[in-house]
Amino acid sequence: MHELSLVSALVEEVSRDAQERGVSRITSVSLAVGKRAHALPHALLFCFDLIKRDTILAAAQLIIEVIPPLFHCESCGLSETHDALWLDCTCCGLPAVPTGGTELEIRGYEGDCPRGGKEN
Amino acid sequence: MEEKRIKVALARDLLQKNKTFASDLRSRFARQGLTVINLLGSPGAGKTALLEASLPLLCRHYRVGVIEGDLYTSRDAERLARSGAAVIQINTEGACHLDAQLVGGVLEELPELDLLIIENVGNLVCPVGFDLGEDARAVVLSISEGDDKPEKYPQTFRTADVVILSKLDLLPYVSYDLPAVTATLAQLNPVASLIQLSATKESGLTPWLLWVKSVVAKKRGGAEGCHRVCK
Repeated sequence: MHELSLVSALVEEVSRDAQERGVSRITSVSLAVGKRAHALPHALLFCFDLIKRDTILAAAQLIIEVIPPLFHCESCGLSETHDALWLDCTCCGLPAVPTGGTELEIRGYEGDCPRGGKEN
Repeated sequence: MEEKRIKVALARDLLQKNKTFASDLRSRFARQGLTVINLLGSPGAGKTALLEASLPLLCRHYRVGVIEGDLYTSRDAERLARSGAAVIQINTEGACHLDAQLVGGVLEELPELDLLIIENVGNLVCPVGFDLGEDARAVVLSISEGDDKPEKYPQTFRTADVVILSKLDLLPYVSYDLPAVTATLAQLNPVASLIQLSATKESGLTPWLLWVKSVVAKKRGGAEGCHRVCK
């Protein structure tokens, strides 16, 4: 259940950034989760609802984008998305290297700001 | 005062905090010339048994320390303390993995060492994403766990520098497709070496000891004769 520590890190990071920008209330947070990242979206959502209480994110919705696994062929340069554990390149047949699908990235957030805080 | 809705793009890695701690640990280990191995595997895979069998041999040549990660009890630390290594127990009290901050918190309690082995919490899932500043990652996979584990938990095996197939003495008693496991591991991770051994029978330990020695030698930036550890 390491989703709890992942969500704690998310709430900590977003709260810190929001306070620096003068944001009073966060309405949504976007998180990219790779299919190979070993983090379950439903467990992340469950933990988020627990951790966000009494924080600036209390009213926020967590929006999760699941990123499919990506393979890259170092021989012919083809990148392709596939659910397989491993993949031979569909172009040249050589083993492709898994390059994506392990992301755990806070894409950004939206919130309300009484003093006209800074976007980026 | 009128409120304004703002949108902030962050593109920030969720594991960045641990990565920063791990990077600090890696610099610290480099300054100390300390080789660090992160030992992973399921509960009951034989991580502690492997250390019980190999620590007395490693301790003849290196100053060895072990950090034991478990949810509760100091049972494993007590088992290993007899080996001559300096052992510290971290009880995560529910957390399913060690992180770099937890490891950093106990380093002061260890004496000066050449080799530190961190036995992670028994788990094939959660420790994968948490870098501990290690030089190499060893994954223990036992025969009795069944031959489908590499396919079920691919990310652990993908990040391994060595996979230790343990409890090999049980092979005649269980249904286990060893060639299929070997083939799967080769597909998942073509660069990791595969070592087959039985820690309780003390058979097949030499390749494991040689691997540890090669990691230490690489860290020190020079080659040492292999006979020292493995004779």
